[in-house]
Amino acid sequence: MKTRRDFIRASAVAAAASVAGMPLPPQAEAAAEPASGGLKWSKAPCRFCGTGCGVQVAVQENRIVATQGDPEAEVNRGLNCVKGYFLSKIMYGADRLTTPLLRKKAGQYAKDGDFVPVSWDEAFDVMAAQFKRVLKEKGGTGIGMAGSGQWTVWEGYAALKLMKAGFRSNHIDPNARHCMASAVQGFMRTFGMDEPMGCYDDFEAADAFVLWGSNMAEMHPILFTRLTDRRLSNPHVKVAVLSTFEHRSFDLADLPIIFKPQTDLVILNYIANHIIKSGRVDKDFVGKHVSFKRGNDDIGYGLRPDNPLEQKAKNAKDPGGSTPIDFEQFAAFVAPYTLEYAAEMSGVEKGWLEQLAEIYADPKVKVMSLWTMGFNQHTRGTWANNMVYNIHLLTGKIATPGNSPFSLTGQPSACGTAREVGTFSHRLPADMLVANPEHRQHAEEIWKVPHGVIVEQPGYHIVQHNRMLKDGKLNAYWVMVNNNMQAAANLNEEGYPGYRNPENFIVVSDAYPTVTGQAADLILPAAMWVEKEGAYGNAERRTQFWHQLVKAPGEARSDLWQLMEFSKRFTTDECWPAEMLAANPAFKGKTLFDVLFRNGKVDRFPRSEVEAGYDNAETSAFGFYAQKGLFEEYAEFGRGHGHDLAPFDAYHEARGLRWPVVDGHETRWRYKEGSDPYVKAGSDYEFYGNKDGRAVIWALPYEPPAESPDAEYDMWLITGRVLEHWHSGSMTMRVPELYKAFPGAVVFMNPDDAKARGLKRGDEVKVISRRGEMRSRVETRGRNRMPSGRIFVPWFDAAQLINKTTLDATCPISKQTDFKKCAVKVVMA
Amino acid sequence: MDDEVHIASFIVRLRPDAEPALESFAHAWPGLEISARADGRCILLHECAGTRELLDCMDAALAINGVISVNLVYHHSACRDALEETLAPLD
Repeated sequence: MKTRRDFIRASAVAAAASVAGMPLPPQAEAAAEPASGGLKWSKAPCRFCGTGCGVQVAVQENRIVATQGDPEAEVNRGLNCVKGYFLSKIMYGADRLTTPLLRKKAGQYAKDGDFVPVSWDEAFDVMAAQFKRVLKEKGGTGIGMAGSGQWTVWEGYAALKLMKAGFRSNHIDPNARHCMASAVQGFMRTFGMDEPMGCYDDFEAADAFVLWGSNMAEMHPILFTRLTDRRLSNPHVKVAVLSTFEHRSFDLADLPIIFKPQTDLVILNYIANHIIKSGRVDKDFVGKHVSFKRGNDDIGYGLRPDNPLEQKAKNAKDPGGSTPIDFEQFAAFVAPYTLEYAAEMSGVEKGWLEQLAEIYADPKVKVMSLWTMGFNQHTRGTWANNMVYNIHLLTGKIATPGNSPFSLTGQPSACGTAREVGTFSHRLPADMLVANPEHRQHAEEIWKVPHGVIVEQPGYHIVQHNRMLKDGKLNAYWVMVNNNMQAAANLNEEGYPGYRNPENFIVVSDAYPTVTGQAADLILPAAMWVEKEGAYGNAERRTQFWHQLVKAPGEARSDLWQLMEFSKRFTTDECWPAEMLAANPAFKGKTLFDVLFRNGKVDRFPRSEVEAGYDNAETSAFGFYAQKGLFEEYAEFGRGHGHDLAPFDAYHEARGLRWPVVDGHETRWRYKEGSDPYVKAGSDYEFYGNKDGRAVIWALPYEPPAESPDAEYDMWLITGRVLEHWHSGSMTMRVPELYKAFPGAVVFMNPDDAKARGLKRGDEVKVISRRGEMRSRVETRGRNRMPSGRIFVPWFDAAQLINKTTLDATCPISKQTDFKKCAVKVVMA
Repeated sequence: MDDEVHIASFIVRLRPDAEPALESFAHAWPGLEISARADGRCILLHECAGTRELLDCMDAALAINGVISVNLVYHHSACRDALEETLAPLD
């Protein structure tokens, strides 16, 4: 070893060899551990997708100077994807917001004014006056909040309390509705309990993987690497990739399957039929652990009630309804889904369909099914989730290593915050529901608030938010950690008119001036990621913590601080009915801060309990360890009920723990005796989310999409993401390397389709639907290869808003939008 | 910082039949070498002038038929002079 260059080269090879589990090449053997060079390294989960990779974060002089994959993190074992690698740069974009901005004219707030920097006091004064106006006019029902699966656990929990107990409004919903709602409803209807039974350990145990619409290679690259390792080092392992177009995950496909949009439903029922007809039902498992239901059909498309599609749908008002059936009735129901019918409907060759069905039917093959938005963003998304569980349940391939129907997630805490905390309009923590009187009472007792505070009626979901803003029913609206103006469908007809409705006051808390922020009346600068202490929950039920590692820039404050500080400006008299306060005089005249956060529980941990060596801005502001108090109060909901979380401090030590954590042990496979402490001895399996301990197999048909191409709008539009950018790009577009790698959205198109329209690669085009149009450029090569009649447009680019064209049709059960299917035409611009 | 040098290592997962293609790619791409190989995996070591070049190299490797994934593991940047410093031998 002679020079520093030699040393660094050897270190680089040594690090890669250790991560890959390869023997160290001779030239790297001499490399010592890289010196820390005055850096302080701490652990944190990545800020981006739901995989939950662990990273090591290096701090020098209040600035993140490096991140690297954490070799001790079980999830990613030292690897990082390109977004994770440039993670630290998301915090240092040139246009980072550092002060509140209020629309003003002549020194006063004005809806048609221009953004002017203001102090936090002025921002909260104006905001509180507007919220109080709405409270007086309409009560809590005029107030709404759009949250996120990017909130930390305690931010989501504080928001839930402020909205559901403080303002008495259930109109809080996360952008996870666009991402995970169908998965949630799928879990609830089949298992009575949310989130996967298996975990990432299944990747190393499965004999086959089936990707249902998921492009894991780009969206979940680290998990795809684990899958790739399994496939390449075990020749018997097979990978099936199903999609409506060919993408990067097809590089690994042994069974590459391109199907017509929406016909995944047909393929799923065909597989169930194949399992039954070929005599491979696990009768013992089905007899002991499964029940059968037939779901209501003809359930509409979640559009406005006056839409003709809703008016003619027989069960639009009861999409989730069902009737009990037995195995024979189920078998008869799927019998028409023959190989011939499936091939004709899906456009997939029979040979591929048979091989796919055999993966599930063959009792010797351990199979992992994986999906994200292909199933979830689907007008029958809940059904698609139920139907994939059907085929795992018929064969008993579930809840054991390698047998795993696994719903992947898109946001870092879609599970931890949106789902487990229950920041949906119909939910409370630990899978409880506002509509259930016992659940409301239990929550009110834990929160130490009077009975009756929580409203019974579920609130508006996030798609409904934009409609209700437009209709003037929601008038005070707070958007946190999401970019819903860009993300939600049909922004021309619903989103933008709602935000600019003169009756409404819109607040957006964000780190950057997003499209949503620019449509708001007040923008609040937010602290992000390691500028605050946080907790996320990933897709495999793993709860992960991190410390505050740097101070937020300027006046930026965490969402937790914003929620708690704002609550000081309201008293119970302004928010709760007089008769409730008369019956509970101890609450009269108190601020919402006193009632919700100074309640003897949230404020019970002193600041001295913050680990030495770390800042905590909220503890400094409020005088107590708010994160710990909120977490311990929240954990009361789940402990002893199958959602057990470990004590707070344990998470600052571990690289995450998968709940339920019982007696200090995490749970890798739920519902199976021996691996899940909640399953009773002797029962083998127990699906204890349902009262009878049985999982439900659902008889559900194929139904067509809300809109299909016709003579005028002759192409399918599919939207989605690309590797370099995460969701709306509000963070990744500010990382120069990622911006340059994929600077602007393009229209991926089949070369023959382009030629037929007189277009060539690079031409500027208009994508036009019945709702709006956007301009972009044609791409006929590259990573996505489109079948004729289908185009793919990524949605990260704020300069090319594809959601001007999309349709806001949803799954009527989950209310999640179908961003994968609408009809457009493409013409020369 | 015009005179920066970036040193990075990647793990490449590939089908066995793609190995010759990766080998000629590594030979042809400036500053790139294969440092280690095992079943279905290779470690690439890359030295270049900036992160742009680094990402280009990763993209180009990923575009090879049969290459399934390219993951960056280690990255260091420093000015050229500092890299040429001779390190004192360890006692």
